[in-house]
Amino acid sequence: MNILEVNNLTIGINQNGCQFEAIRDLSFGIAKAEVAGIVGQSGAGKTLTALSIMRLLRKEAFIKKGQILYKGADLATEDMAKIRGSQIGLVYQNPFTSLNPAYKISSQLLECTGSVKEAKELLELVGLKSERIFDSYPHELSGGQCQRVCIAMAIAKQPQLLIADEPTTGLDVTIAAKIMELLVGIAKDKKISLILIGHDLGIMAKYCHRLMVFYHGSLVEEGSVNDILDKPKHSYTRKMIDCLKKPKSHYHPPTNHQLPALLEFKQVVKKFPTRRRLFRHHTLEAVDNVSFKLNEQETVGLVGESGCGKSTLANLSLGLLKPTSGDILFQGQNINGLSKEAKKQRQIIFQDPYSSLNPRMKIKKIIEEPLCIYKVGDKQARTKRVNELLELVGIAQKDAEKYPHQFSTGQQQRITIARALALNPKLVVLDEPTSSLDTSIKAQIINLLKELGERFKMSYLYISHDLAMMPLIADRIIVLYQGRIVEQGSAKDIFKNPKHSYTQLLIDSVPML
Amino acid sequence: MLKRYLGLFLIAIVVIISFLAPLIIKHNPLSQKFPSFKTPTINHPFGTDELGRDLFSRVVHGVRSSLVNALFAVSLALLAGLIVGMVSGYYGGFVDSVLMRIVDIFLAFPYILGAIVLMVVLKQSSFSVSVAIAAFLWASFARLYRASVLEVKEKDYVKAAIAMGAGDLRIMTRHILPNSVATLIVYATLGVGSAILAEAVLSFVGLGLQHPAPSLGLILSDAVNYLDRAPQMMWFPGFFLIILVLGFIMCGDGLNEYIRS
Repeated sequence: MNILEVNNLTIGINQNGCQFEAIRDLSFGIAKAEVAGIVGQSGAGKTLTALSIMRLLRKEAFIKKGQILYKGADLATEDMAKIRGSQIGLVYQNPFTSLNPAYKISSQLLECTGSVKEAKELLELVGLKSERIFDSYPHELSGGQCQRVCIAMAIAKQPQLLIADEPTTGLDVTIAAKIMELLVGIAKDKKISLILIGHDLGIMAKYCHRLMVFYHGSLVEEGSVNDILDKPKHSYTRKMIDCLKKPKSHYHPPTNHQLPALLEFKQVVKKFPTRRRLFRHHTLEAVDNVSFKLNEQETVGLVGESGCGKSTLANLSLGLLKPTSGDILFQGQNINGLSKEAKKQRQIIFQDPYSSLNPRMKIKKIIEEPLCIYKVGDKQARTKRVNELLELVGIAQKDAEKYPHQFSTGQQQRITIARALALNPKLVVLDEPTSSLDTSIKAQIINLLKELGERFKMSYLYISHDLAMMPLIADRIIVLYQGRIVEQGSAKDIFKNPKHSYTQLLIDSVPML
Repeated sequence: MLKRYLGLFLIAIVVIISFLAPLIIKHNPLSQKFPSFKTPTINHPFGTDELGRDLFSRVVHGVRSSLVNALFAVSLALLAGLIVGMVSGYYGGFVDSVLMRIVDIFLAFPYILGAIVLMVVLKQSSFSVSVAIAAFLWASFARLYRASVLEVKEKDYVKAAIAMGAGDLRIMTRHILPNSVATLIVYATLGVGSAILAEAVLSFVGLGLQHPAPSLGLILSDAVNYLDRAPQMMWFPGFFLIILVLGFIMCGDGLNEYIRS
């Protein structure tokens, strides 16, 4: 018998007086001790499903019809306080916000377990050294460690079903892989049924027995991992699989390397003061003796985990930060004394498109702004250019009068691309341009960037923690580890024979089919 | 939601009465031609005071001058607070330290006591009342606004504008101002209420508007001497003062809820 049965579940949401159905006619079952995966893009209803099982829906959302049976009993009539935690455990998306910052790990764990001994055993079980962690506050731990603590809390009362809602979002690839292994390992040892929720088909396929594909609130496909990968029925599943296959088979053809250097880092060091004492200044070396060249019309990919100095490098190359020592040259000139004309040649695209667009400005004004700053053309010429740019990135001209929040994340990123292109730049720094986007949209944005880069002969400095997308766009890859360059070479070389152990680790954690 | 509209409703009633009613009851607030201490009648809805002046006209003109003075004081304080808060938050470092220490000095004075001291020094007129109130109101505006500027300054769209090569003035007016001004507006609405009170207090202690000008604070200070003979001299101006201040405070509270949701 299935441990969990969801029958014809329909969830409605009330928003500003109107009602819509976020999940329609959802039915599935979870068998004992199986690892089932729910995949889909954001807004597909994955988290809503998890919350409705736990009966933790917000008050705008309500179960319109259908039922959820746990071991044959309808959860609508059960006392949920007795089920949550002891029967069904939940691991949330963001480990930092799901732990209370005001309490030590010890007291938070003791809320779930009876004794200190048990709590320490749990920490050992999730692979943490119990002594040190036990007396720490959440902010003293890394994201991976926090998530391990969350997992420990979720399994403390030995639930029979564990739901993990995107447990690795926000974590580095190498750490994400370890967390997934831990979850699946615990499920196997303790014979717990595990529902993994994620948007990355590659990772899900690696760890789950069975996959369920969600699309716009419906379950469009369900089956064993092999069936889904080999014979996908739904077009969305096929699209996701295509996105995963590309990196392995097609490398970006190397371009002509005879062109002159556009951006050059010469033994650049950047230190940040961390703590100030009376006689000593503690500093953090975010970037340590980094030298590299970016040639014209070339794309260099910069990979590394969070905190390795990637974003510092991005800010340095645009002159938003000044190096502690060393030189940064742009078109052969030191970056500090650039002319206005040269400054026009550099642009940046940020990770989170929504926060990089001023919410009080219309799209038209946002894209026009760089032209206004450098006083390019008159009003008519600028409007013409804005329309041109909108067409380039695939946004309808009539949308120019809208505000940023009226667009999807993918469209917002297209708008930031249009803004960056307005002045015909030579260099565009891409600071994790796809990491807040869904898998299927990621590939679209990368392809758009690639196409525009070739068409307008731009160079990209592509910064990402995701090695998987690198070969699609980068000619060369630089691997950054703790502020130093540990390896650089063509995309093909790096993937075929990585030299540094960290590069190897990164490649291993890339989900590829 | 209800609060905001109730607040606006209260303010609207007082404003309508104070600007339209004098068209019907056309007594000069300064003329002393009526018998003194008359109880309310149709011709004198609030009665008359000790010098035989129509109390209704005096209250209504007092509300007007209270409103005008308070709005002027808050606008002055808002302008100063906006500029100091923006410059301080945006540039940071040394400029920030200096400006914030000045703000600290102003914040250290008790608000009304500080205004009283200033009024002793300044020439007494309705303009200097507004200035005295603004002088001790702007500091809290500046401190509050600096905090919102600091928050918005870290947003990616500001960084994007810097990377684009936008000038400081452009970043401040186009990107930071529209996204940070909401909390200050709320605080200023609440400030109007306290400025009205402050003006009444200053006039009450004899340092604000001077006799024979109609002012709520002045009428109240006269009323103290005749509480037993003519309690209407306390009730009506007091009532109008409370409604007006309550209206602005509710309006500010409601706005605050609105921008937070």
